[in-house]
Amino acid sequence: MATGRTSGPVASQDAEAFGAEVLAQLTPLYSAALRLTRSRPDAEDLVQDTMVKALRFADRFSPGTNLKAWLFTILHNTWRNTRRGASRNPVAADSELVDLADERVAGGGPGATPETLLLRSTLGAELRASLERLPEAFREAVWLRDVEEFSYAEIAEMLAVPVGTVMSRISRGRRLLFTDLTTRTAIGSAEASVDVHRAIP
Amino acid sequence: MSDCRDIDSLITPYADGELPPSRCAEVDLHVSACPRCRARLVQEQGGRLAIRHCAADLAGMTLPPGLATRCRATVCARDRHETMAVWWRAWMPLAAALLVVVVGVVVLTGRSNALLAAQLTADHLKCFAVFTPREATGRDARVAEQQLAEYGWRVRVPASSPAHDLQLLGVRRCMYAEGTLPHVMYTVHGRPVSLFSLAEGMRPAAVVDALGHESHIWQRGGRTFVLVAPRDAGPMTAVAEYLEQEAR
Repeated sequence: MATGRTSGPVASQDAEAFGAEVLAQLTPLYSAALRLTRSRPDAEDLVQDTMVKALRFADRFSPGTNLKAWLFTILHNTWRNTRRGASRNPVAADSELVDLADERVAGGGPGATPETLLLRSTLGAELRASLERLPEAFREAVWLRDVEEFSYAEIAEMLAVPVGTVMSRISRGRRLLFTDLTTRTAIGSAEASVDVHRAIP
Repeated sequence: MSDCRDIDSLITPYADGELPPSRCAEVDLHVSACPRCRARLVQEQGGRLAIRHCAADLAGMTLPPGLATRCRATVCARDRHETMAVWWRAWMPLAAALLVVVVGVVVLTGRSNALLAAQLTADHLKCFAVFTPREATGRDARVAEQQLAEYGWRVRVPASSPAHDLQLLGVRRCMYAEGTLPHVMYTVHGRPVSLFSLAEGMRPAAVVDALGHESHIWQRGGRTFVLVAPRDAGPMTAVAEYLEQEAR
């Protein structure tokens, strides 16, 4: 899904073509903005701010690199600047307490395998719910890697963290996701299952 | 055999198929003998498979009405914006002098309508330079009201009026003083016109000239409404009366 690699230098493209390539990324940008802000009006504002900045700083885009990744980096930077000083801090999710939560849910449901998981007809809806329950830092890393298919290095630039941290968040996010999906099914009740989000103080 | 801590950092690139064969063999050897690391790998592969299996569905998203149009307008406005920047650099000294005069008039006479008109005219110019939804002809007033409602404003947006050659383009949330206010964008005879709604009702009705624009100010239901139009767009009295009747 990580399309958007431009084939020629921006300087040789006319402004209209560059604008069209930027507009082609509107849906994934809005999707990302909605995940971050959790509010439609705020997501729309964030996308518009991203568009304005992308056009203003078009000359800073490196020819031949991934335009979509560049736009996502602008979007994430804008979002970080917007909520700088806010109480929520996704980086806190990388603490040792997350390891503890990880261990609590480790093992998944009895007999659960990746193959049996994929056979479930309701997987899509359950997956969305499980993603919602993931801590923000893990959800974003997993989404950028497995849905948008960005490279580790591209994600590291977007999130302004080292590549090792990106891989760690992806790993923990995927494992928490799998155990959440399998545990909930095995127990058969959402109320009785381990809530990975609440396991993190 | 490798230590579990050495293998841990290889699990993710292994699951993604991004490890060279020699390192893959190292992981294979370790997990075949280590139940804990094998379980971690199964979990990671399971999560990865599940999300990639549903990736197309997860990525599916319907854009809210108006967003694509506004963003297209942003792209179209880029060149105009650059032209405006050149224009602004050339005329900035004059504009600054005008602002000083306007502020001076306000301070000396206490007629705050002049400052209000100047501020809203500046906002009108900025929004039409950057956000003009050029292709949004025939926009539904109810959709515009819903969009304002999402910002927390219950405002009745006057619809397009063919009788006045008034065309609704869209709505925006604009900065004003220390807060924000609803901004409804129209054209009249093809010229840009703005309607602003302020949560205050103590201003006298007036028609004020500022920065080459005419501002019609009136009150209704505890709110102040301001219609901003270019002075050369023709008489706005009939349009102002229509908006005065319809806007709440």
